[in-house]
Amino acid sequence: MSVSQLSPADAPSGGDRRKGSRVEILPKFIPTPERLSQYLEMNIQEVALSLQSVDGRRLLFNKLMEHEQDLRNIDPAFNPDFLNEQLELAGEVLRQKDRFLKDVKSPEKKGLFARAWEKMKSFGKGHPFVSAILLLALIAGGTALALYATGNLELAATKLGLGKVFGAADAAGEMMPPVPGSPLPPGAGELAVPPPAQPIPGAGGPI
Amino acid sequence: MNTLYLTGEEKKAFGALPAELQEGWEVVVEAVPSHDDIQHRSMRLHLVHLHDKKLMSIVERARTLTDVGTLVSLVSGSDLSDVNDADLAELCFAIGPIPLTRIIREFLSQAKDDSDIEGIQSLATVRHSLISAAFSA
Repeated sequence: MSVSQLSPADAPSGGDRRKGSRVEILPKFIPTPERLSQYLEMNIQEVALSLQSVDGRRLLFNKLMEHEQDLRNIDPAFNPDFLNEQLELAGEVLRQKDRFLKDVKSPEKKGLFARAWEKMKSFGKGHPFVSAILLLALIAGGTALALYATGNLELAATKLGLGKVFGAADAAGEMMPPVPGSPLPPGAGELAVPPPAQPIPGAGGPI
Repeated sequence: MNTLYLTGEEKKAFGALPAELQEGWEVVVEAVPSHDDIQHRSMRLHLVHLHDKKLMSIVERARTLTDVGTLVSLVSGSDLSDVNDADLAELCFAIGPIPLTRIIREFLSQAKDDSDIEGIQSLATVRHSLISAAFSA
C-alpha cells in the first residue's frame, strides 16, 4: 500500500513529496529505543523500559522536545502530537514483543519453538516464498531504503511471485511500513549526539 | 495428539486433505484478526532487532540498491537456512499474524505429506503465540 492509498486517519503526519506521478516517501523520526538512546545519550535498556510506562514516555517526550528545533531540521513535518502518539505506540508494541519473546523462550515451549524454527529454516527450496516474504518485510522495515518509493516494493513483491500468496490483497501493503524511519547518521547523531561505535542495521533496539 | 491452531476456513481445508495426513492432529480453532493497522505494523517493523550477520548484511546491501531487479535478485538469492532462532522470532513478530495466515493457506493448498503438515504446525504455532501476545493484557 502506498501513502496515496491511505485513508486520512491512517496517513502519517506528512512525509510524502509528490514527484510527477510518483510519490517519494520521506523518512520520519521514529522513536525506537536505539534512536532515542542515541539522540538522548541514554542507556538503551533504560529507554526501552521508559517507553513502557506513562511516566517514562513523558520523560522521553520532554527530553526530545528540548531538541525540538533539531527535530524540525531533520523532519520539516515534525509534529509534537505525532511524536507523542509514536512514543505510546512504541511502548505498546514493545510490551507485545516482550510477551511474545517470553512465550517463545519459556521452558515449557522452548522445545516446541525450536522445532518450529528448524522447520521454517528448511522451507528454502520447497517454499521459497516464505523467505521472500520475511526478507522483503525486513528490508522494507530497515531505514532509508533508496528504493522506498511508491511502486518499487510492490513491483519487487510481484516479481518475487508473492501475488499468488497474497491473492487479491496488496502484498507490499500487508507487510511494509508506509514510511521508513530516519537513517542512522554516518557522522554526528541527528541531534549532534555521536552515534554508537557499531550501529546495528535494521535494529530497533532490544527490549 | 499434536495441536494445530487453525482458523475455521483452514480447518475446512485441512479436513479436505487425505485422511492419512490428518491422522495424529487435533485442530483447535484460532481467531485471527482480519485487520492489522498500518501504525502497529509499521512500528513492529521499525523495532526489529537483529543479531544475525547474514541478515544485517542483506539489509545493508538493500539500502544502497536503486534498481528493483537487483533487490529481487538479492531477496531470491537469500534464504533463512542458517539464520539464528532469535532473528526468526524477530521477523515473525515484525510481519505479524496476517502474512503468516497467507503462508499457511498456501501450505494447506499444497500439502502432500506429513512434512508439509509439520510446516503448517510450525507456522500456526508461531501465529498462535503472536495473537496471544497481542491480545493478552
